Amino acid sequence: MTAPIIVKNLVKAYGSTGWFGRKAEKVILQNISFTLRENDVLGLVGESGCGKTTLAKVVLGLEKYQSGSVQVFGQELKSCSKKEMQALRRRMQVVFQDPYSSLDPRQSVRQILSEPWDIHSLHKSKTLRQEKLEALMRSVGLDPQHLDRYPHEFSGGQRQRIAIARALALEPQILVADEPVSALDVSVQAQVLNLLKNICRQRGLGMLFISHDFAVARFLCDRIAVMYQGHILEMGETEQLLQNPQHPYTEALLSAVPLPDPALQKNKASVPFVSEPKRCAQTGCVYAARCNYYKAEICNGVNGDNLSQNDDKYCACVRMPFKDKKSRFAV
Amino acid sequence: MDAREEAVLSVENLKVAFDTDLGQAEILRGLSYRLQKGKVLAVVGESGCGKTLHALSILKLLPPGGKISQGRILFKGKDILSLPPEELRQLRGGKISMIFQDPMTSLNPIRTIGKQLTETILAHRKMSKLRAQAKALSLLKQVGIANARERIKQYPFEFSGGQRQRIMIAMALCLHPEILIADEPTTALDVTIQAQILKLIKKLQAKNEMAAIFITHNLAIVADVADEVLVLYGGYCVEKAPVQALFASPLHPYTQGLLGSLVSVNKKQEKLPAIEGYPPVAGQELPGCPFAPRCPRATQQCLAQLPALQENNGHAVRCWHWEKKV
Repeated sequence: MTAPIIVKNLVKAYGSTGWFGRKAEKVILQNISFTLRENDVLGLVGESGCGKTTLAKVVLGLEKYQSGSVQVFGQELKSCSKKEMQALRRRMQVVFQDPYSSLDPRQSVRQILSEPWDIHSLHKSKTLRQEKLEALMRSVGLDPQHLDRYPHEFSGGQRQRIAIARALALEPQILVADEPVSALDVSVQAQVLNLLKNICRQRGLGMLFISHDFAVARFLCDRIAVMYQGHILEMGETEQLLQNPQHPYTEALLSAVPLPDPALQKNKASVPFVSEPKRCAQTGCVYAARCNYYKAEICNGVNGDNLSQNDDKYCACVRMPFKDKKSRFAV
Repeated sequence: MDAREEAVLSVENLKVAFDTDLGQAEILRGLSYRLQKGKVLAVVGESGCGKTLHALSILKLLPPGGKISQGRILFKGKDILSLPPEELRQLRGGKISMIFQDPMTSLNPIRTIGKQLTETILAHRKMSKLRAQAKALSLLKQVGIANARERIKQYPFEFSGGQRQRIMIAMALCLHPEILIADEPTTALDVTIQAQILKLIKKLQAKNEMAAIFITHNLAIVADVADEVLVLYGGYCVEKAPVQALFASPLHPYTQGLLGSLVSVNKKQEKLPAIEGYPPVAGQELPGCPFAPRCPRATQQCLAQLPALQENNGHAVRCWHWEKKV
């Protein structure tokens, strides 16, 4: 069977017509390729504005794209009819970041959870629905007796559980989760992460997990793709990527993660992170302007995207300065 | 010297209550601590525990409906709460300054960065406009804004989130305050910018011998910057300890749970030991220990009676069973 999501050389730009009809175009995603296999959790990690949410929207069919191909369950999204799209959406659901704005405050939990069934004309009998609703509530750790309550009666963590239950209502094969725990309190975050992990294991769900937090990604993801300014700079198995990062950007990002341990924190060697561009970016590597390992004669003119791309392991750096170096997260 | 004289700030039994439709709700229920010169205190807690309100009450900036129902806040021995308005104004921004949580909304969108910075300086110091401008420029350079000479003429929307937060920090530090209060200063930022900002605050803090209060829910930041940590839960201080002691041997079950449930980037974990249940709603009346409903050690006594804050070698804990091993 083919993989549920195959993205190849995807390019996405937001266009706008500027003053006097001038075209202004901003390229958001550039030459993105990855595959999400069945039962696989792929993490998209990057700073804000790197395009990770846009990528998720494209995969969900919520945004159009300019070129390249996005195949979901073997179907090219660009050529999908409305009907085909709706059928696809049954197999692919989403959990958003903020559980305060993603649930309709005027709908009870019962309405929120059964709306997907109304749309897809499923489980029409009343008793069956009740059974299904109760099972759904239990599966996300909520009390079935609270079905007739409204979102404002729940705390943030409980709301995120409702959002997850809604995504699971159609029994999808793929879940797209956009920073699902970053708005939650620390003690509740752990509960929701455990829940997501269990759900993926038990139901054999594939997940595209968007996060800016390497710690969360390490806990949940099988593979991680590191994004920067619309490019995937490095992709690999989670453990390998964290213990032995190949791209200078991955290394810099990892070195900025604070550790919850005063002793470790004091003697951590930090990589100087450059936020303002050091030099004018040339054609070639996108990260060149901020890179600590930049060498003009090697990095200019070479576009990392054209390096050999492999679904499992990928690094868009020609220099790869630390082939054999272990990171501070190595065991 | 008496310990009380040394402290730049001392908060004594601070209680903050809010008027609601159902009567008064107490959000902060008796908070006491001392902040020494040049030290960093971290106040840790989840949403609704009263950590932000505590910061606002130090500057007497409580939102409408809220009032300090009891307690004293002493800045170098003077009670802030009974200061006349003019002296209070001198204190705010001049001696004690604050970095607010949201850099997007705390800058004025229709005035240039330069104007906003010089305004702050001129409000507190007698100097010429030109000198104030030069000072603003050097501050922007200090917080790492490249091309400061050009950018000082720009408006907030022309800066990124991280840059705006750094401008807020520049504004808070421009008068060399004796105390800096930072309310979740890096929550909305990427880790890379967060690391830069923490480094900057630490550097300036060491240089000016400034004391700081960090309000956060991020324990990794606490480990990075704090000297002493105060853990708030349900409006009570449940644990107070030097940072090493807190991370090495947390005594309160909540702190233990919090540290245990952290997702860690430096090891592979199969399952996270999460704290069951949810934090109490702000202002909820609880007769006993606020953590009892979620606590694995809770007994009848915990549900009925509030334990006192007991101190042992500088490590204070509010728990009936803190000596028990789990």
